[in-house]
Amino acid sequence: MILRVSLSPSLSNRGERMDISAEVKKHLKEQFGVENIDLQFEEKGKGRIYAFRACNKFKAVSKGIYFATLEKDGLRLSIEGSFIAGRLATKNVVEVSREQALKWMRGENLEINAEGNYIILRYGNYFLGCGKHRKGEILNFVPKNRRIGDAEND
Amino acid sequence: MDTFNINPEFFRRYEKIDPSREFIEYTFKPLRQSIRLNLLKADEMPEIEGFSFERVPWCKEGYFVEGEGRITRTIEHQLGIIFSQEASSMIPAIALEVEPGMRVLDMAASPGAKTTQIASYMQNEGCIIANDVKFSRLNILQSNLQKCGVLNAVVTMMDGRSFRKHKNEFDRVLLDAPCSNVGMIRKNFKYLKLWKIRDVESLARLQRQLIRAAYECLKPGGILVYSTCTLDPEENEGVVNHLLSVTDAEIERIKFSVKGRKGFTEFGEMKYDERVVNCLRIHPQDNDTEGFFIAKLVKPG
Repeated sequence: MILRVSLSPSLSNRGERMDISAEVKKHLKEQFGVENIDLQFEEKGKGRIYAFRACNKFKAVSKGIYFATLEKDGLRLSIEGSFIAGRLATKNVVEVSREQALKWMRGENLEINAEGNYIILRYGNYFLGCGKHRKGEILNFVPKNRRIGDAEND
Repeated sequence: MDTFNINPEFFRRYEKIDPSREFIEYTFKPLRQSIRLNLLKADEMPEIEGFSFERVPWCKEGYFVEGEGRITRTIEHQLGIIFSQEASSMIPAIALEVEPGMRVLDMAASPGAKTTQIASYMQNEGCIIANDVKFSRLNILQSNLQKCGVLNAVVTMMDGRSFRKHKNEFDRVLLDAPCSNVGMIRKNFKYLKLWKIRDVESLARLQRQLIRAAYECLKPGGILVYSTCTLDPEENEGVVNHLLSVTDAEIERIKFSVKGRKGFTEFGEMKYDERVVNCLRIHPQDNDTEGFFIAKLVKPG
């Protein structure tokens, strides 16, 4: 198993340095109750964490997918990260209505009271990504190119 | 405007390939929209307000789309639950018969529709080398791998011909070759304007080199699928004929519930190996899709 030790300032400032896979898995467990996730993780600067299954002997331009950003106050999952972790999560997952899902996918914040710092939003079987909870509001991180009603997506 | 005048050379060439009125009619008819359910994110096709779906007969997770709005503006599209993909282009990944855990090369992968389809059949287990020679095409490939949640792909940027050095390495190889894109005229008229016979000839040279490399890096017992979205025999049966003449490759017939035609065993003055009859040609009028060509080749062993 290939594990890269992160030397980025954002991580070394957290005190005890861990390998990045262990750190991501620790956050997944603490924040979302996710255990036994069978993936490898790699940090590629600015706390951006990529998830992949190793397989290669060729010089890669990229491997795997953007999974999450490791912020100072926790792990903020990407949409794909929320699909992977959301299925295994036992806490900090909030079910939203269709109206809320549409609003969220337009890039708007949602007024929801929650407990954790970062919340996975779920609409039926869909995971809509992860938002930051602050004072009764879930702050939106859906990238512009993943929002609905964006002409650039057509 | 008379479409003939856009590119008379094209019409003279295709008169020899398919002289039917239907061919011309469908080549200029707007393309039906189709999508594929991304099995990495969903098990069954959701209902999407404002749209109806008709299953693509040859792909269990493929659907033709009817509706007034744009499917690309739905939550399902933006979350990667569904993926826009032309219906005939769903065939190569099915013909490849991948299984979880395999090592697969997608030699000319961008924009990644077939790569993501292959990953879904592999259930994200195993390894896909998603290669493209052009840096400018990698962004869209990476973006589509991301959207579909593909974890088992590595993106490389190599000249496909260089894979010949990696002998007997892959269980499956897909070569969806760069081509003259006649099948895509339904999507964009620019492909009609851009078409030139000398491009067909130079593309065919490149395709012959690529298919040799694809075959070299295939493991004995492995499957190589060669496909293009064009219908010129020089870029299709001519390329397969070349591989059959210089290697021990065997060709298998593609048995799908898709209307199509047998490969041409001759074209103009060219006579091809009789086995190219097992290639599958799909002309636009056959299923109201893009024109497409697929050959399934096996390395003995």
